[in-house]
Amino acid sequence: MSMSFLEQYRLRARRHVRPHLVGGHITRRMGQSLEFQEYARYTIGDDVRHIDWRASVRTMAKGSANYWEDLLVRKFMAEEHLKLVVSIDTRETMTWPRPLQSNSRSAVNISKLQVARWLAEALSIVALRAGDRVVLHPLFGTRLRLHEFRGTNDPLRIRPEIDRVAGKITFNEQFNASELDRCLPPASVWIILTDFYFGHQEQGEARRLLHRIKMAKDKMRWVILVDLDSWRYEQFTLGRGARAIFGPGTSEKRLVVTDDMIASVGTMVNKHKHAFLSVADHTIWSWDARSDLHEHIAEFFKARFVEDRLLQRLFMRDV
Amino acid sequence: MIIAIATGVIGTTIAALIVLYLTSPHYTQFPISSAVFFQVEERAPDIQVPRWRTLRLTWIFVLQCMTLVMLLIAAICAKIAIDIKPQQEHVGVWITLDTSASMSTLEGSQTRIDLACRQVERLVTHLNKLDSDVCIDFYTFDLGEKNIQPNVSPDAVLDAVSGIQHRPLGTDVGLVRGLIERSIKRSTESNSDSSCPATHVLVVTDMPAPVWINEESLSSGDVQTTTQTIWLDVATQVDNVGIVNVQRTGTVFNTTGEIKVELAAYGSIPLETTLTVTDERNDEMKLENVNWDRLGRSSLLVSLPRVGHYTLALSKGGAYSLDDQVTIAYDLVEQIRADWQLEDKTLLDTLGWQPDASDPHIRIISYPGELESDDVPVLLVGSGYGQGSIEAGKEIRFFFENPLLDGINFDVAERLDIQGISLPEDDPLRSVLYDNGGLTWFAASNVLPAAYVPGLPVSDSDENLEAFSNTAFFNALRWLLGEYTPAPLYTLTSSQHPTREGNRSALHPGEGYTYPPRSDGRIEDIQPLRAAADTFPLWLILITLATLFLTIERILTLSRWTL
Repeated sequence: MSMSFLEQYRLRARRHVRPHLVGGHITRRMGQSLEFQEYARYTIGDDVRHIDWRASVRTMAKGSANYWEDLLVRKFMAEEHLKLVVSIDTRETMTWPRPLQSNSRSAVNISKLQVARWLAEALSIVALRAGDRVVLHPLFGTRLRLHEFRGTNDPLRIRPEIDRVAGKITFNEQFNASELDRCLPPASVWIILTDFYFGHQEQGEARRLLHRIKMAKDKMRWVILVDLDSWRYEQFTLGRGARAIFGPGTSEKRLVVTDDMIASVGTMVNKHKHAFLSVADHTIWSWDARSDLHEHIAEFFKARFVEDRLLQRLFMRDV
Repeated sequence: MIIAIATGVIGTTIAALIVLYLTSPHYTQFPISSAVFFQVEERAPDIQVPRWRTLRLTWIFVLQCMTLVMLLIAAICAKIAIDIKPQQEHVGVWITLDTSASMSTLEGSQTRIDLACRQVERLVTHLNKLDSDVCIDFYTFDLGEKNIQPNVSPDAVLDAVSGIQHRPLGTDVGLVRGLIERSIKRSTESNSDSSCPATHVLVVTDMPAPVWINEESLSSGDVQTTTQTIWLDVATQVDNVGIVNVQRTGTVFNTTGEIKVELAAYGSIPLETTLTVTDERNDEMKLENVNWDRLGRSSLLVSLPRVGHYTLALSKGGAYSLDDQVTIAYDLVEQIRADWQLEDKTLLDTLGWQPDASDPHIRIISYPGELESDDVPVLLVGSGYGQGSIEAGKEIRFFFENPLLDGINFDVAERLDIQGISLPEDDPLRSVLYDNGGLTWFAASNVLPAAYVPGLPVSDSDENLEAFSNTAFFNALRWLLGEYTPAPLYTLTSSQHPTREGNRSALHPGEGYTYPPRSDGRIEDIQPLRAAADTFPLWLILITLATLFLTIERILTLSRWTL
């Protein structure tokens, strides 16, 4: 996505007022701050100490009888900027799905991780353009030092940071909680990009993540879960019949796949995700069940990004 | 039986593999991120309700099938080997033809040599029909071996065989054995420079095949030979009468004038056979009728009046003619020649012997003289007889049967003082008369031949001693002269002297007798032999391929790669 597209996205979002909703306590407010934001016409009730006389004289109309209507008063930025922490899940399950023509060298990457990287980049750029701060965080693995980005020039540094944070696939790593404590202050937004597929050996880390989400919510952080859901696409490519199914952390299992089995597994998947999705705001990005998805993955992402109201609320104004 | 069982088992395994693939569903491999949620599902049975499906020729199935097929073929072809070296069909025949005197025997209107040459011609005809590389080495043998034609074509042998004739010589079968062993050795030597490596040896003769033909002992060391020997006996048993031997009846020093002629009849004993003796002037002197015993043997004593050459001939000699006639050189010794090495030559003059050191009949030397290596009988004469009586207690011992003791008076001898000699242990002379002190008076050796007497005859002493010494000396002379081997009445032809001339005849033993014929092999048995090519067992190659296929299949299975 181009910069102009993201800028249009930000401005479109800013035209709307964020509806009141649970967790949406982050506001962009003008407050007592030393950080000048803008001039506004004086209205009764404004603090006269903030009248900028020099600017007012410059703009005052000569001979105006209602000179107080020309007075300009300084408005200041609130101290709490919007801080966006984007956690990217880099486990092996995120490297799926893969196109049906997997042996092709020029196959397009339609994996959940690829979409997560795009989403993280888009959100970061829009947030930085809006003056917010951004931290990119690997959800699992504790070896990287995190950087905070701010300012309109920093969008150029986002992609290299994404490569650093999400460039390696993690195997059997722990949930990265320690860095999170440092970079998730009150009134910040924690966006988690994952598929919530946790195997038997990962249940412990999954429980820790769930506990952490609950804690963040209790401590006034806005947690948004982005469920990167490839189930529809995978069950479409699986088809019906004799299959030898294997995946990350599992041995090969020979099954005769039927509609009942698909329904049963789908129920199991939803039930498994419900444990997470029920505790926080969430948005579900489902891969389309089409065989030519690899040819339309970019369009799929754009459409979902534009349509996603929850993520748009990040950039709406409060008042 | 084992091969059939192995073939059956592997074939059944292949069929079972195909049925398994036909009835088993094909599980397509699918890697998905939600695989963990399928783990709780019930595993499908590997073979559900058996129903026939389309056989999918996956790489793993093909490799499994190929492994079993290779094993099946290996079992079927267990005995097949691949020739590494190009095999050449080659026939190399070493012919050895008997040209001895017996090959002149008539078989009907042909001689045995004619029959043998016909066999060689049959061989050439047979070899020309073979579609192989053929070479021939052509030999003849009798008492010697001759290489007529080395490494020639069959047609060249026809020209050579036409000029082959028998020779009036005996037969040395050992030459044939030597030829066979040489042929084996040269055919097995890798660096042999033999121009015609033998695959067969053909012996054409009138001798029966010996028992050692084709024995393992003829092999060249431990190398198993493929050289085959074919022995063709062209003879049939025929009737024959011949002179076997002619010898003197007495010694050369007597004057009996008599010879003994030995005859043999093989096959049917003829009713009338006569022996004719003619002298040098070709005057018929004698005509003796031959009387045969029941074994077909006869001997005649023929008196000859004088020294000279005589021809003895048989009438009705039979199929073999070279034993029907012999010419002898009958001689008498009129004057004895002596190599007299004693100083006292009185007795030599008295006896009237001719002194001759180069070709003596006898040699007289002093004891202990040095004996020469020729066969001339030797009389060793001691230092002489002593005088006086024998010591008391001394006894004499002797061998009764020895000719040196003829006429010796032992009573007288005991009273004589004869100085005996002490013979060394390794002396070829053995004591004939000796005393109880171990001293020898008379000694003799049949091996040399030689004799020892204490001294020359004495004449001017005790008459007992004179008689004793004379008797001893002349007994020794007589015995030694009796050991003298005179020139034979006739000689035999040899490889060096193959022509019958003078008293050289072809009376080789056994040539007139035909043994019961026995051949071993036929000319038609000569077939191209493949050179001992290096072979490699086919089953080993197939099992190696099967192992390779199985290894690839296992690797593919482990990597879970399916096509």
